[in-house]
Amino acid sequence: MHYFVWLFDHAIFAFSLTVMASYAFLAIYAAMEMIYYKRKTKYIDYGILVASPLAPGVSLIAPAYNEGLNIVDNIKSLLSLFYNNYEVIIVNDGSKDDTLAKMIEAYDLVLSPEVVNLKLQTKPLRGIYRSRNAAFRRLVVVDKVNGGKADALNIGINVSSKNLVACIDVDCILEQYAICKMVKPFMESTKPVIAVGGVIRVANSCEIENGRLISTQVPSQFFPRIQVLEYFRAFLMGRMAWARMDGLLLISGALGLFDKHIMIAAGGYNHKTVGEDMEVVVRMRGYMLERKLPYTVKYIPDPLCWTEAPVDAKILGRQRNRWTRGTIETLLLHRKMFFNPKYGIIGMVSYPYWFFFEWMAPIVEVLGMFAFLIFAIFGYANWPFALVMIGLIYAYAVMLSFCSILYEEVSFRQYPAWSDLFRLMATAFFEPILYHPRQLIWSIRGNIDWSRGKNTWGEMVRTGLSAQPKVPVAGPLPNGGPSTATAAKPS
Amino acid sequence: MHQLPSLVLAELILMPTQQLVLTIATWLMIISWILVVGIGVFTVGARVYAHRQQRKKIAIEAVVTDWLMEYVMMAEDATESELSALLEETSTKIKHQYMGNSFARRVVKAVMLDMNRHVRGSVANALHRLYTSLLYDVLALETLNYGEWHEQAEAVNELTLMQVPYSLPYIEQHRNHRNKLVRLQTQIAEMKLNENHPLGFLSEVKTPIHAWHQANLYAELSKLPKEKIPSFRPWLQSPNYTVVIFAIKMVRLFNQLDLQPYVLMKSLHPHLEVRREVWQFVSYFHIAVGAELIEHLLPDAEPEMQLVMIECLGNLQTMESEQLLEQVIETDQYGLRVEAALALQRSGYDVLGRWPELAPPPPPLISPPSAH
Repeated sequence: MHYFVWLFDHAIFAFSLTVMASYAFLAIYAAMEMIYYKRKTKYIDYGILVASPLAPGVSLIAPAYNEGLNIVDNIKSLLSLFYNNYEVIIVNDGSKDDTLAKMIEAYDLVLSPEVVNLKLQTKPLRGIYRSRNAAFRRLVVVDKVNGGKADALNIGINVSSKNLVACIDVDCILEQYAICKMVKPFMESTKPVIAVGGVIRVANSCEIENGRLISTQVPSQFFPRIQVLEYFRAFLMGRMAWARMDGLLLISGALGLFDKHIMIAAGGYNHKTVGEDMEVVVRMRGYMLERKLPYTVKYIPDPLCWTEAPVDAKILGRQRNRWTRGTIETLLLHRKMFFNPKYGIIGMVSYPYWFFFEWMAPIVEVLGMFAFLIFAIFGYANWPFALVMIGLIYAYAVMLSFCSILYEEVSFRQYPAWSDLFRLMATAFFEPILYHPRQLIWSIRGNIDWSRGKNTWGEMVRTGLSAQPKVPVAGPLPNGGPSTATAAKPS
Repeated sequence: MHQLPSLVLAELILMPTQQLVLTIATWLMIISWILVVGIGVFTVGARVYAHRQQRKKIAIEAVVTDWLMEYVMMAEDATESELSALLEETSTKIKHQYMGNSFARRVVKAVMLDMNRHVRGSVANALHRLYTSLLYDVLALETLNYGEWHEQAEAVNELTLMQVPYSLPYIEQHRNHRNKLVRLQTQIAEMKLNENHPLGFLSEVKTPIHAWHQANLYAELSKLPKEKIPSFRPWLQSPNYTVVIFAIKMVRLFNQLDLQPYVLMKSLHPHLEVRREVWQFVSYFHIAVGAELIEHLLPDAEPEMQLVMIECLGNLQTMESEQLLEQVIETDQYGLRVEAALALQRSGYDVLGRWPELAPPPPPLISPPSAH
């Protein structure tokens, strides 16, 4: 038994050390990329693109499911971005409320019989609506039978008339120059860019007026505040580093810009997974690598998109459960990439990282806890080692959060109030104790649900960013009707 | 006796490694806590420092803006001797108070650069003279030679904004710099500082001029008076295909229609992107002869190019182009048919009236239950 305990201790230590080393590496690499990005963009005048005849065309595709309450304002916000060559495609994914009626009334829409190139297979189209008012000439509303977010995005891609497609959540608040900033990598890279990811920020407690962000503030509620820290770590550390290595596997469903032709060639969004945002990036990369075509995926660290984060534990739990299932489904769908040198850094580094540290880490953690409990019951527990490990993991978790707060502080400083800074720092101390155990439970539940074949998004409730009454977004949805509080997935 | 090897193993291997692991973990924990404190203090310190710098900056900006405003307003109607005296007085004031400190020096420079964006003519000239009298140009040229890439780009940007013509030979050396930001700033500088041949650098450029670069160059070119825009004909022959693309775009945007035959010749260019640009040119000017060319080239073109040509035909809106599109719709290639139908639809043609089979399949009367 002593040997077994010895082996257990050492295995846990080795695994923890590997995880910590990888996080440290990502943090350092992200810092290098951040410095490079800030230097590179110091003299950029995005204004030159706004009305430039040389700006590439962009289709913003936003699926809407039972968004009747806010849809008119959301569209208004999307139509007022600083860019000339773009269209807004709202896909009404079989809403059961008055989403379509409200759009028709507010934007003077009429049914427009059109030919659509059905390059991607989707649920049937009911009709395409365009406005009679020239002021809304950019707006296209597609009405279709409910098929989930992936299906709605696919039909949007079919209808789009531009070469770049931005897949977004309809109630996200985009920064005014968001399109200019996301288009730039497509215009300047020497290698063809197939996708660009943007940063998602938590908009809870922020002041919002007419679909515009007026001032930012750290959320007053506990769970959204925790998510601010999570997003810092994911977007300012993790993804920055992966982008520098050109090994980014995930672009958040809330904001991503894609090369339409490559997206179509790769088969579009997969409606059989709940992690369609990650799956499409992995598939597009696989498509390019299998054909030995040069390509790259870029990432913009500027805060471009603000979204409402789940406020209560139940909704957050559903979201994390779905993310876990989405990750597993994507990893299994593309298992041929696992340690496959044919897929370069994706096969040898990114995929194994996601496998071991995103999928397996919570399982190892929970198994470790159980094993320790059993050792303790039978009197074999190595208490000094256990206590030191708990102390080490806690200290390391706080250190990583502090590191991400520092990155935010020296790069974008979106929370200028001193109180916000101190609240975030305090949250970093509470997070590992009050939040991490729940996260583990959600992740394990995600694994169990996946093994049972669950493939629904679950009911999502959002409070609305402009302090509207609580609006249930009907569910459970088949593969998920598009919902905003669910799409910004940090890794 | 049979327990002896395991006891030896426990004493010699297990216990020491257990101890080692414990020691490493303890040290890592201590280091992590030290880092937590260090990063925390650094974060708070960074904010305090930034606030303090911001306050200083606002104070310097307020004073310097007043001085500069006074200087440029008086310089507007001043004679040469008055201007020299005024320049001497202002530069002495600034040197005395702010040039000893690098932060203050940067703030003063930023104020001057910002003011430069809003002034023209003699006022701008007066500001440029002040800039050189404070030796900012010398510092910028030094940075240009010895700085890192981002500092070099900043220096070029600064010398361009402050119109320092003698810096051009130094800047030109960075025309093919390995960093694209430096290259871009250099080329913009050449365009702005080389009054006689603003686009002369296009003949010398060996590196690609990507789309972002082109948009920036166009933004600068569009600010030039019309008579200064040269004919783009020489660059249509460039061995650098990105220069050819840029030239075709500029021919289109500056309406140099006399170059149409030279552009159309590029429809046989080996590079796909150049050919794509040619068809956009044809679309833009509705060049009728384009339909004939497309009829000739369409069957043998790459699939991607065929789509571009079909889109171009839709934009031409001539009898010939419509007939050609109708022919394509009658073929059995679904992708091309739909693209041709879309192209015709854009020109107001009742496509679904004539080819109802191209309409998207209607939804069932009752939505089918979801797959899940």
